[in-house]
Amino acid sequence: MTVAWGRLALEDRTQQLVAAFERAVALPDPYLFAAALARDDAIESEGGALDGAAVYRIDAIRGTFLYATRDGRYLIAYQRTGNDVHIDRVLPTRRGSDGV
Amino acid sequence: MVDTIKLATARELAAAGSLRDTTVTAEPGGYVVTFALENSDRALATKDGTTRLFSGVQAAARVLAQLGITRYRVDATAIAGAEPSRRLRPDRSRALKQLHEDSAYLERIREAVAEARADSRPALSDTDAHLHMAALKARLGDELQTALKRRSSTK
Repeated sequence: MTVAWGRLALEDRTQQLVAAFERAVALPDPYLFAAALARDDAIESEGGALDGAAVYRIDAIRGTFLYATRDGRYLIAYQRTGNDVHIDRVLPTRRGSDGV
Repeated sequence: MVDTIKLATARELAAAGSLRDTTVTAEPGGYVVTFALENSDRALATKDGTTRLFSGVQAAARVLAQLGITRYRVDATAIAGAEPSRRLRPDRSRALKQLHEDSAYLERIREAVAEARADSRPALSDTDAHLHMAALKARLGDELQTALKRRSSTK
């Protein structure tokens, strides 16, 4: 039972943190960055638990499982072989953003 | 201008056998249901009292069936010879727009996933990923503190 994070998934997370960091500096409002840290911690925690119950959309994207984070802001796209999970992307949901 | 009658009243009159005749009449933009009462004609009204306009005979028939009325006349004089109009359905337009946006969103996800699958760089284990992100978070946190201090000292 393993979970591996693809480089683009980590870059997705990095991009979200950097964007929050830049907003926090510009406003300035450190809370924005603190909130982003908390969100990323949740993504990491929920992503790390994906080797448990499988959640997916049949045939939405072939071979890809999709998991929406509990706060509804991000979609984790991953592959699963048995109990081994490879996380491909961490993308904003439609509700969380206008685009990917 | 024909007086109107609300659905609840029409139901009571229908149950009492007081509706002598029912006509579904074509008008510009839709169909109107008119009941012939003892002394007058009344058009079926909306809840706010205006004449209710049905999209077609079938729609009117469904409501009339609820009143137990299955025999009625259809007067299509007003649209005789006219091309059938295409009635817009705002609800369907919204649904189609939503479907289109869903498809576009799904396509963006599909492309993002394809990009990840084509990435040959090795993935990081959960532990290594945690360490990698923790280092980034610590660095950004330090930079934020520095930036905020610099900002407050320049004020």
